[in-house]
Amino acid sequence: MRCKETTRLISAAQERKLALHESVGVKLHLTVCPHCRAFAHNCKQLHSLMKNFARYDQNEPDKP
Amino acid sequence: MLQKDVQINELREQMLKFARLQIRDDEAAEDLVQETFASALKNIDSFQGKAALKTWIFAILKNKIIDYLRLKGRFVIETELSGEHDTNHFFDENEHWVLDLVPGRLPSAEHEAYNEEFWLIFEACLTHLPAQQARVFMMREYLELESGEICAETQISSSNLYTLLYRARLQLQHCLTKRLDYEV
Repeated sequence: MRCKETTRLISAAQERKLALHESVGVKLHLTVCPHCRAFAHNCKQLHSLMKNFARYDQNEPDKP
Repeated sequence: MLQKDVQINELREQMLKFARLQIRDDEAAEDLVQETFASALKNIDSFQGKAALKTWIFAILKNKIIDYLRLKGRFVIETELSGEHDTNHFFDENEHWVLDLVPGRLPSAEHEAYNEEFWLIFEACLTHLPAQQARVFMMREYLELESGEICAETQISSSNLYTLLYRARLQLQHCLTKRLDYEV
């Protein structure tokens, strides 16, 4: 599996469960590819970050 | 509380921008923002003062947007993928990353990098996405709708949805890490 297909599946995994052969292929590729590891890390990171969207306000007096 | 009109206007502008991104109807977006303020005033007693006012108001707006989209069946999405000319410029002809376009690693959630400036950059990156990508990304990741629901309401196929989200993620990661200037 190459980078293009791997990243496509990493993104898809946020929406659906991957088939066994897909997730095995992704895992194998990730062990050797730091670029795709960064992409996978960022997908998770973006997902959790979005919970904070629009919550930050420096001028808010109530902020501790 | 917000004492200054300036602050209210700023907040209003941000809310409008956000509502317009989700529903492409300026009038309806105005209405939703107006309703949000009305409903916030009515429920001001339930505002604890612990949550930032902006957080609280955006939470109200978010629910109003979801209600609007669900009730009116107005997840209108024009398909930009119909041509299916797959030009994914992040990868070369061997399907490996183009090195200049490899994203850096985003720092973990509690990192100090996530300040007001970060969110300004995020908004700028989101605005640079094709409109359709930005909308499904926000439906999925911010409004937290299930992909089945997004597909049903927007009448795009699940494979189209996955492609749009994939493109949005590639583009956002590239834009964010480039602007934040992280080491790769």
